[in-house]
Amino acid sequence: MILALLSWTTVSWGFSTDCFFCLPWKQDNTRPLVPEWPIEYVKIEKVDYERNSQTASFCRRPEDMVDTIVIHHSETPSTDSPERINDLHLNRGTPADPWYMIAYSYVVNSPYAGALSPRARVTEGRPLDLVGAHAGSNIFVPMDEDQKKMWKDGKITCGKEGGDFTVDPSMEKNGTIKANVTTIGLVVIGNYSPFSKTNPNGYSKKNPRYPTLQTQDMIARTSCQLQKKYPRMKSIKWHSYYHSTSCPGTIKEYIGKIKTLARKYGCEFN
Amino acid sequence: MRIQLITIILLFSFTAVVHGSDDKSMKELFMKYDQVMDNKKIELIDEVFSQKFIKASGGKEELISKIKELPHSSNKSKPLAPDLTWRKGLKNEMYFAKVKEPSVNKSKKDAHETEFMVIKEDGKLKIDGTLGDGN
Repeated sequence: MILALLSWTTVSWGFSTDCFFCLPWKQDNTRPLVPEWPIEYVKIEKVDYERNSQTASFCRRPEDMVDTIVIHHSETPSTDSPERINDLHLNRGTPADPWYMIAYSYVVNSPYAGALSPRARVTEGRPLDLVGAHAGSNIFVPMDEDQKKMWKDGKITCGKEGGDFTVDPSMEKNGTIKANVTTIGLVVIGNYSPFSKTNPNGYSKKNPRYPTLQTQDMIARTSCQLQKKYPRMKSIKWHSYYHSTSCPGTIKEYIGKIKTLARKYGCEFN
Repeated sequence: MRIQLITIILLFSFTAVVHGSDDKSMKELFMKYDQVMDNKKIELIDEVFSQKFIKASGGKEELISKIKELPHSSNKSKPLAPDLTWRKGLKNEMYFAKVKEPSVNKSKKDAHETEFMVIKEDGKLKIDGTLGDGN
């Protein structure tokens, strides 16, 4: 009896691809997968990150400035925590201009295929109203009319904690703006590129790594949850879309599938 | 005044000596790394990688098998040590070493950098992996 109950729980809860995070009694295939607001397709955990509060400058933006989610992989082992990524980013920059905190806005922990750890979870990174550091600091993208207005109204400002925040004119160039201003970084912890001299964390040719269905689903759920809250977020891109990099490895091949999964939850991404 | 000047000079000299010594160690580490990754002196693997990195790679045997999978026949693998730049991390006892990775089509615009994380293990510099190149 106990064994039967355990099997049912495992099948209906642990290995369900439709609703990994849902409790078994919440699953009902006859109901649409689009719940009423507030939507929680995935539980997003919070971490009280250490910040370079004294020395680092950073930029603020209205959350509505963001229209694109950019997918990354961390390149580090899949077992690394968001706190570890934050710690690494606190070490970056120069003594005069250090990084403020973790550069990505969302962190997805998910095991490689066949692995048991880490625990699958999504964690909040840098708050959405702070400009991230992930797409490339010298990459500029076009602005739509709303974004141009927010820029003209001086809504994107930079400064230090406790100090004055002012407009930094170098953020804009001929009607385009730094890609970090209109995007957020969503990082999957792990390394999805092949092993090489410049990528010693990479996978072996004999055992390539691909994002599991669970990983794809977590990205789709998180993205959809964000779009429901911020309807201007209409696009999912990947790091190498902006400049030459191997990031996010094989995850790039699954962006289309992730968008299809997001559609299942009632979200459209281009 | 003179004492202050001497103190500043001593401080600068000390920093220069420490940096110089670290610089030498860093260059040596990446020369060994080149030898390990080119499958010329794979026995140096413990001197090159941190124990945490080896463990996260699935163990020494797994890491060696990955290295052996790499194409070495041409012997033309570009050494990383000569083009290395590095700096100390801002908070922890950690170093970031950058190498330029040439693009396939050899265009400068397409080239990107790889950032290695280096830590001190038992007083020796060891590679602890790489970090995503976003900024």
